[in-house]
Amino acid sequence: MRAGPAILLLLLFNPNPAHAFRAGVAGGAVGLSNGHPNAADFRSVNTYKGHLTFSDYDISLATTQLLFGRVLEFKSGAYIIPAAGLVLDSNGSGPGISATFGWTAFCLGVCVYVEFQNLLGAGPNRHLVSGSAARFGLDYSSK
Amino acid sequence: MNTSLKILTAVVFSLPAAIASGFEIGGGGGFVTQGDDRLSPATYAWMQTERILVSASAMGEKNSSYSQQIIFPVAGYVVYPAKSKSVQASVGLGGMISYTRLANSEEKNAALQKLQRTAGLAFGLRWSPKISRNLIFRAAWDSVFIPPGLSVMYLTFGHMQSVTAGLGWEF
Repeated sequence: MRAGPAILLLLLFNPNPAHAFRAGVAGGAVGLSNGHPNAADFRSVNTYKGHLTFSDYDISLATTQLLFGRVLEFKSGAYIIPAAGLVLDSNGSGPGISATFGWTAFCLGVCVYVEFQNLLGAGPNRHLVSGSAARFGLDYSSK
Repeated sequence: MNTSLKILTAVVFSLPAAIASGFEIGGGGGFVTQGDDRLSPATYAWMQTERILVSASAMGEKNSSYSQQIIFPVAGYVVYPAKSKSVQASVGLGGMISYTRLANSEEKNAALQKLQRTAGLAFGLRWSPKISRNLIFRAAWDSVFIPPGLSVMYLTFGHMQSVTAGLGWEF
C-alpha cells in the first residue's frame, strides 16, 4: 500500500481514547427555533461552539447553550454527551438538557470531530426551547 | 431465486436468533417537536433486539383547512454507552412520511393531497429499566436530522425530536 492512503487509514482508525484534557472549537449550523413551523424545521444559522473536557466531564459554550455533561465513549471514537445546563434560542433561555452524538477521528495531536446535537429546555412564558446543531470541529487533547 | 425472496428468506431465518438474543416490543406516547416551539402529541411504538432497533413516532392534526398525518420511522444500531444496560443509545437511519390533505374552500368538494417522504440520520437516547422479569419501562429521546438536498453542504438540516415513554415486553 502506498504511504499516503496507509497514513490516512491509520489516522482514520486511530481515534484518541480517554483524554485527561481536551479543548476544541467547532462550527456549523444550529437551530434556534427560527425555522418555519413545518414538521421538520430547516435552520441555517452559522455559529461556533467551544468546549473543554476534563477527564470525562465536558463544559461547552455556544449560542445555543452553556452545558455541563459527561462524555460516554463507546466505540472507535464515537461518543455521546448527555448534558444539562442553560439552553437558548431566539425566544429566550432556560434550564434544559442536551444529547450530543459525535465521532472523533484523524487524531494526530489535533483531532477532527463531527457531531449532531439535540437540545430541549423550558423557556420563559411556557415557551419550549427546542434546538439542534450539526457541527465540524477541531480538538486538541493531552493525555 | 430472486433478490426479494433471498432477503425474505434471510429475514425469516434470522428471526429465531434475534428472538433468542432478547426481543422486545412495546408502545407508548409523548410528543414531537413541530418546528419553532410547537409540540404535538404523538404515539410511539418499537421493536428491538439487543443491537437492532425499529421504532416510529406518529402524529396527526386535523382542522377546517387541512388534515395531516406524519410518521417518523427509525431503524438504528443500539449501543450501551454506560455501565448499566438500562442506558441505551442508537444511531441509524430515520425519516419522515407525511400525508397532507388540503380542503380547498374555493373549489367545493375538491381536495388536494400530498404524500412526502424524506430520509436522514437518526439518533436516540433511552432509559429502559426492567420493571419485572419481562416488563420494561422505556423513556426515549429520539431525533432525526434530515438533509435538505444540496443545502446540506452548509450543514443545514431539518430536525425533529420526540420525547416519549412507554411499556414494553421482552420475550
